[in-house]
Amino acid sequence: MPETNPYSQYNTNTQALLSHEAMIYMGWYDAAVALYAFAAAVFIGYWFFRNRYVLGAALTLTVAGLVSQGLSLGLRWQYNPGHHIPWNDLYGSLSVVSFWAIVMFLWFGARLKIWFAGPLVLAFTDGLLAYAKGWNKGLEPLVPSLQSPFLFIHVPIVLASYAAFLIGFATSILYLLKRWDEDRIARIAGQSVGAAVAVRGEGAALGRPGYLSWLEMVPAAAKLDVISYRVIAVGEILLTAGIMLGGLWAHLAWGSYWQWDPKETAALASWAIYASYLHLHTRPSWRGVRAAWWSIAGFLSILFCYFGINIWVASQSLHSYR
Amino acid sequence: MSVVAGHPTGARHREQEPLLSEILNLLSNVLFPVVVFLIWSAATTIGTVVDQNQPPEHYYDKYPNAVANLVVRLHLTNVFHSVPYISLVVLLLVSMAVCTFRRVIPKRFPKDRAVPLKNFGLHDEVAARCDQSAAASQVVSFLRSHAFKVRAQTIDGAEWFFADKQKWARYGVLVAHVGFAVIAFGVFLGWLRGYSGQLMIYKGQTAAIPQAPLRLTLDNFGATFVPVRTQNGVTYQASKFESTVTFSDPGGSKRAHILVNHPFITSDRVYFYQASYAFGGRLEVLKNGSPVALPGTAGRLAAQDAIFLPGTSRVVQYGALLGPSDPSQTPPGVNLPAHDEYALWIFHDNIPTTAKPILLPIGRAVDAGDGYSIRALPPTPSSGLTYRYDPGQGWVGLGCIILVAGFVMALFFVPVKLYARVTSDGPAARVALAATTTKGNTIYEDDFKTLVQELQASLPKISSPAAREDHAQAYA
Ligand code: HEM
Repeated sequence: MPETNPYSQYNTNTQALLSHEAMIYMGWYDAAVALYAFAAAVFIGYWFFRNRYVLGAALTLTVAGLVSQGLSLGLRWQYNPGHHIPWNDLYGSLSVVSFWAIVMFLWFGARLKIWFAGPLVLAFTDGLLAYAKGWNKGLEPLVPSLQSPFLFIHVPIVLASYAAFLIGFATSILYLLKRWDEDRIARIAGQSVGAAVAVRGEGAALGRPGYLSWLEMVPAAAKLDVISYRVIAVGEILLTAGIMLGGLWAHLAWGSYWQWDPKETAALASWAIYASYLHLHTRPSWRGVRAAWWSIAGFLSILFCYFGINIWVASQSLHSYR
Repeated sequence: MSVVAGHPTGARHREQEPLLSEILNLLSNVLFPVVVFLIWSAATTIGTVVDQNQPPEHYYDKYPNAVANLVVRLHLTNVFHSVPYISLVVLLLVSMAVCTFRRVIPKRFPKDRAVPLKNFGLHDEVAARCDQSAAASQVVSFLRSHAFKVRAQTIDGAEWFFADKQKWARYGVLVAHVGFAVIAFGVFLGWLRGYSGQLMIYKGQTAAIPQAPLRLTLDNFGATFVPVRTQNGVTYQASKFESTVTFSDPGGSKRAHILVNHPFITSDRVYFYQASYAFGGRLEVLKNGSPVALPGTAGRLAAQDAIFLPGTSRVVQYGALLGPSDPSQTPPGVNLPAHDEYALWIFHDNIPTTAKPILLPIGRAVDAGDGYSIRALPPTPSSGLTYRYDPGQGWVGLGCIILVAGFVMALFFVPVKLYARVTSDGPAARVALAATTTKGNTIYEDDFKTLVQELQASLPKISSPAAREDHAQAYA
């Protein structure tokens, strides 16, 4: 373990951002931020006008955003001194999280039909991407500890797990909303036969604010619970593999696979929260509302592991890559 | 045990049993590890947020008194190696073992036997417009083509088919738990038999490893730097640093290069890592032109090291090395000197003799007063190396692979057991279906619906001549 940090890292480096090449990759990045914002808006439209064309437009914008984000990452990779991997700072790594979140959204969307989660997933993703802009360090050389093929494997896998948990967070929120809606309808239906008829027919909006009418297109809460479970399971597998590859990397770079470094321990805490989620989910009585809250808590722990460590606890961490 | 043996029918025996099974029940309840996991992650978070292994003053400096008292008294200064923390992991392991034997291993798919299919959460029935045997053979080939393993039985005139899919995935939980146990074993072995340590050696120096008959000499150290533009001007970052080392043990000696991310591994599996580096400054003290031996200061100087000039109240304080050998010392915005030079101060009666630090190029001398002069000698590089021997690492690696494999098996695949009962219904047949999974019904609901629809569509309309005949008669 390096006793003294022989090099230091610098925050936003305005000089470095003025180069022609930096402007190019930042341009594509900004385009992605804008495209995702449009996509989120059109996905909201899809909530209210459930037709193929709106969905098609939303997906087209999403894919266009993904392409320009991919271009931005690729160009930065190309321009970096020594063509080093572009996710060595918070800007690059948040960009990878967003990239994975969109890729996974498209994948889960096709497999589990979760297009209804589009507005939330795109809004969170775009928020991350827009926030990350402030952490752009420009084109800098890579510090020795990052000069390893593990930068190529460990980091994207961990970031992919964060992306999966982000989607699980979105579906868990939708679960709670849908469950609230279902309970409300059941309550009204329980009151009188007339109300029950009304609930089944036009009057479904009874007592539900108009802006939540889209909840009708969201699948039943029980389905959402399973969707969250499957997404989180993917995330937990990735997090497990990512932590282990990180251990292997630490073993090669620092001489010990586990240092009790803040990043490692924070990831371990998140891992334990999601491991308990998966164990709880084997019990029918814990599926549903409690599992959804659990998933939300898990995602908060991921945010702590990510931002909390990189920004707040950074000075004690070997992982303070900003 | 002797107590029990002495009282074969004694009350003691009966009292002990429920307690033991009580404990085992508690340990094998899935909620138990959940609670432990939660406490574990809370403890881990505390250890993450509170700086670890600092002297008490550190906490009193950093936190309000009340918080610092809490941290110090509760020993939150060293969470991860504390007995309660390790106990949590041990508790998890014990509970996992109990759980694995009591719940995971006995967990089987239900036996192949006739069951009331209507009672299943997932069940459906379709009418076939063909006879029983045609429907039965179509059910078999349909299920096989959908990756089910199918076993057939005739029970009370009905054709029963018991099918399963991804049954092997039920072992995923077992595999994952075994993986965790193997990791724990590897960590334990490393803790029991392994060792590690750190060395700081200067170029030309030889150091011995206390735990093994191994010596190493630093033959050379080199660092490459790259300029980085920052808001405050250009600074230099080490882009690569490398030690050239000769290892010698009773078997002979061997040359090796050690770089960050590229440790050297000896034949006894001791790993050597490049951890840090430094450049020590070297100054020669001259009195009236001839060198003065200064015990204790003859070697390398680090920042703030002081040399007291004998017989005077003068002190030389070493600052830093500036120049190409270690440009990372040059403050941002200051031009990098073309040749190495030292920044130093000379104090007289604790008062600096110059307003700015003296910049002394290598090979040159500066007058320090009272007949003394200070000459700059080339700096000596030193290398910080970490070494480690861990006999458990192979087990940890193996456990990781097993754990991930178990996770993939347990979480990605849904083991399904399917029942199909084909009964004859006059000239036609009816197919009743039901399914159960190890992960609840909802997870398979859509697939089950699709499966039933596809099966229905695939059933032959009117296949056997007998059935056709019956149909014709029915409409006659
Ligand atoms: C500490 C590391 C542990 C890991 C990595 C781990 C991993 C897993 C995984 C991946 C599953 C499958 C979950 C699913 O299908 O959704 C599982 C299930 C299970 N775990 Fe663990 N587990 C651990 C600890 C424990 C402990 C301490 C217990 C003790 C009570 C336990 C009891 C169970 C049981 C009973 C199941 C299966 C429940 C079922 O399928 O009905 N696990 N475990």
